[in-house]
Amino acid sequence: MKYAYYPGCSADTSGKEYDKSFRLVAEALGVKLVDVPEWNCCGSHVTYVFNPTLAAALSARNLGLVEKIGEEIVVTTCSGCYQTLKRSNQLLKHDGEAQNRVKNALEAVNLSYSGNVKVRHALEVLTTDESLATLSQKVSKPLKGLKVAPYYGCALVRPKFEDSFDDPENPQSLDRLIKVLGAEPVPYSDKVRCCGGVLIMKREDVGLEMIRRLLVDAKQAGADCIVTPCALCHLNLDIMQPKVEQSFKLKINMPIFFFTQLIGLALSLKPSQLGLDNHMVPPVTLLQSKGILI
Amino acid sequence: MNTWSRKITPDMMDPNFETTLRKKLGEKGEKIPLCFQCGVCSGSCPVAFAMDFTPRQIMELIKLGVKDLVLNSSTIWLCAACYSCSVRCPQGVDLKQVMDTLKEMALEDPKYSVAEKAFYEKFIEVVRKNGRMDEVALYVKLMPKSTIMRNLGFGLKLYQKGKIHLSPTKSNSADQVAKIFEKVLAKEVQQQ
Repeated sequence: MKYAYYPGCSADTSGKEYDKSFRLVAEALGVKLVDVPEWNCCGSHVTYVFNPTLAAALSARNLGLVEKIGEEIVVTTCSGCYQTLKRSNQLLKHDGEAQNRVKNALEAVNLSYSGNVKVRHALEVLTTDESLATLSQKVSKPLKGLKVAPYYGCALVRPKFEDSFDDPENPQSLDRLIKVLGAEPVPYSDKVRCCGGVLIMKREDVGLEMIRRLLVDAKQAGADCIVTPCALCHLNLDIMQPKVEQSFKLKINMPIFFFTQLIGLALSLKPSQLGLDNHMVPPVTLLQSKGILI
Repeated sequence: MNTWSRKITPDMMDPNFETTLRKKLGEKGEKIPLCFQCGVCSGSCPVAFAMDFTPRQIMELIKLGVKDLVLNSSTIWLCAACYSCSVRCPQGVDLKQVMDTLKEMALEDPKYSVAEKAFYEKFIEVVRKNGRMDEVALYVKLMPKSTIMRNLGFGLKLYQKGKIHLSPTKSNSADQVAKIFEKVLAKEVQQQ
């Protein structure tokens, strides 16, 4: 399969290892990615509050670029971008006035967009029946004994779009993936509970409490680690974990993986290739204790 | 309802509040009168613990027309936009969209939420200038100097882990993004 790839802004900063590991495992699984050239911020849900038409125009520029390079499907690693690009498609389809204004704005930069590019998430394309079948054949180092809390977050599964790929209340794609990799998904009641997103920047006290709950619940569910398909969730759960431990006087020590990193490990890719050393909570000791790394 | 209903005074009311909100929400606004106060939204909300009014209470305040309490509430700004309420509401109210529209109304009126404006304005400013979002640029624009100084050690650690850059990430199409801003926002001014 071939897709246009839209990494989103976090691919350059907090989600660097997500981008890196996605590219590697996609290649290993025969998924071809063509970068969207000169892409810009999708607008995020923040711009939607400020001005929905502006948000749709920012997304539409990226989607117009996908058409320009002759692709019909764009895949993104960022759950926020996934939701925003889909919302823009929806707005352009149902709001004639917004459609006109976006069209005019794109004309000013010599671009057009038909409204027909399909938006897919990296987790979606790597967990189709076909992808999982390929993957199960290629797993060379099963992640045996690793108990993983599948954490989907919110933007990936909500709101429900016509072409959403997983259930908003009890999604299964990560659970299935974890099993194919030879690891064990633990029943995790917070799998679709929001991590607070950018609240950590606006109200740190509130954000930290939301993150604490996700981490402690995963621990109580018996998880060794959490896996996520979202760069912002990873930022909150990993980067902010030392602050949670400090604020609540807790010892949690819960490594947080991007799902692409777990795939990479099962394909015997090296930890440094997968950016495991970029994490705030080092996962190496855990992986060694399970015999996954030597 | 007992404790907060006593706080309501006539000057907080706007009899047209619900109508204005419904109009702004378009088709989605038609669902607002269907709310029967079951509280599934509040039970589902991961931020309810920190709000001054729960999402269910906000719905009731909307129906009562208590505009000031709604637009001054911490609720609309604490809403993390996770759509749990919207997905679960048995009456089909898209409460997340209601919260977004309430934010929009508060941002438009100088009477409300001066403190919250900064986040939205700075976010947009960074995207407008760089064509991309940059967490560090946003953080520096938003936080008081004392907070930044207090977190320098943390920032250094993030830098060492490759999680942040010191120079803002700029899209090579930043000028095109600026043009799109200009075009969309200019239209808006004309229409008003």
